[in-house]
Amino acid sequence: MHDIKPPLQILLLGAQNENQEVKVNKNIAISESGFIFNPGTGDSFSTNSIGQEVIRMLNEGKTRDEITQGILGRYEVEKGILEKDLDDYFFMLGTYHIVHNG
Amino acid sequence: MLPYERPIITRYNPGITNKFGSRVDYFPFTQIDGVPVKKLIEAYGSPCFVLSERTIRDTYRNALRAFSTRYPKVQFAWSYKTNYLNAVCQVFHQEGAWAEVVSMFEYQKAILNGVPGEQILFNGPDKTADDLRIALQNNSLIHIDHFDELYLLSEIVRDSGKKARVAIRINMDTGVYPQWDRFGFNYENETAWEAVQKIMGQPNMILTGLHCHIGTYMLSTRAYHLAATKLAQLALRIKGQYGHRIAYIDIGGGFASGNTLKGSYLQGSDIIPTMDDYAEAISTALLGSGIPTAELPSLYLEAGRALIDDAGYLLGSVVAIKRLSDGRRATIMDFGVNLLFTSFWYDHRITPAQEFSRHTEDMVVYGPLCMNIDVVRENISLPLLNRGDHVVVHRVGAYNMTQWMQFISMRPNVVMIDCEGGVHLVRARETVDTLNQQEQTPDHLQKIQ
Ligand SMILES: Cc1ncc(COP(=O)(O)O)c(C=O)c1O
Repeated sequence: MHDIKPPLQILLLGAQNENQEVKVNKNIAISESGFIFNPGTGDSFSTNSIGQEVIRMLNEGKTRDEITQGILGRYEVEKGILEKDLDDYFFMLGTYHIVHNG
Repeated sequence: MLPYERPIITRYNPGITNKFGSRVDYFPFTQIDGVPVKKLIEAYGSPCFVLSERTIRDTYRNALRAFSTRYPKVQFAWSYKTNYLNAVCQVFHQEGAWAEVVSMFEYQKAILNGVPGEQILFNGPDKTADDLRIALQNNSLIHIDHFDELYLLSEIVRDSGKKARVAIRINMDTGVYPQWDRFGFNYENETAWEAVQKIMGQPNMILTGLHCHIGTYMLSTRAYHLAATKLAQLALRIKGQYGHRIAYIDIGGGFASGNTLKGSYLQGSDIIPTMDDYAEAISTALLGSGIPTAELPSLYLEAGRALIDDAGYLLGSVVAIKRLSDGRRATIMDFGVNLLFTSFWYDHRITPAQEFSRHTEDMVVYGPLCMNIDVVRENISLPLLNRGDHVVVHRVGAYNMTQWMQFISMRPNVVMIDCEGGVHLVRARETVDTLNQQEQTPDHLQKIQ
């Protein structure tokens, strides 16, 4: 028997669709040092500097594709690896209710 | 271009005891005794076991010092099952250790290593008539485990005309539960005394020693104090009843190594007694037992894990990084429980072998076997790892290189770094030929058609 309810990952995979916009939820606070606070849930997180850059670009309204290009232009990384890592990062941002599909 | 690091996000769990453990290594572990991990992997492959001869010698000397500064007659016997690679055994024998074996296979290894027969302690519940004959011939110390063995040995000595030097293994209540009562003769219910009486009645058996091995990874020094006290009382009773002096008391092994037991919130190295603590508990028991100083028995020790765990490392590499369905990070290594049997008992410390940033991730570490049980660490906090990165697993010297499984993949190379930094292959990796050479395929199955 198959589970007919679409699992969380599938819903979130939508967020990874290059054409779809991902937006940072309202009220999410990010400090210089990568400390993230979600007043809605009371949860706090930390992210590394590349993670901060990604969130900053999201706040600037950049698309997934623009973010990928932005990082590829500045960091020593292959596109395939970056795509896989971004998929995972966006998945976790969604899981933690920091972003939503715009 | 800037160096790349995967983007990560970690949730803080304030106030909740962190099951991933708060302590992570702050520095990469890039070399062992001055030899770069990277070089070792280049030359010997990944995974690969590495042994430090210097650490073995230092650990042994520290243990010998701890006991021999407190007690006049001390003799260690290397517990072969813990690690019976010949190179390892020889380091211990060069340091003065005898051999403690529990099977004819181990016995033969000791003989082939050049250990004189009379310096082999033969333990274990499964000695065959042939095993006993060989041990008798070589004047080895036979540690009798049960009455069936006692009767068998008594028949063998009767026919041989030789005298057997024997000890009995004794189990007892030392306040540690569950009690290890399946080996040897029980102290409290007088079975041990019955065994003594039977042996004293045998003209061809000399009751030379009293042996116990009360458990393994024992955190209580008090248990050793009790064990030593009880064996000393038995020695006194034998002296009183028969006028016979027991030549040695063998306290076995069981001293803890610095590994962290599964489920323990405290790091093993922070809570285990030191060798000095164990030595103090045992020596004061013997010295205070009432046995006259001139008649004190020798103290034999069969420490295993405490003498070799620290000297062993397993080098490995990251095969893949995954995200599990519940969001947890999973890292797959090229070594699993096939090589790291002790990951069933311990939360082994794992350190990356290359530079990393201050960010860490909580994760499960899996081995490469296609099986659910292949979990190296259920929860560990590690710096960000990428495919191909190298890691070092610490304190794997005991039991892994003897209990490893040839399952799905082959056993890897084992190397030893000598005290001058020279690297020696001490056991070559197995290949398909290693296995195939044991097999025989019937003629009619030689071909598929
Ligand atoms: C009789 C005997 N002696 C010594 C040892 C070594 O034990 P450990 O490694 O706990 O010191 C064992 C291990 O099982 C044993 O059975």
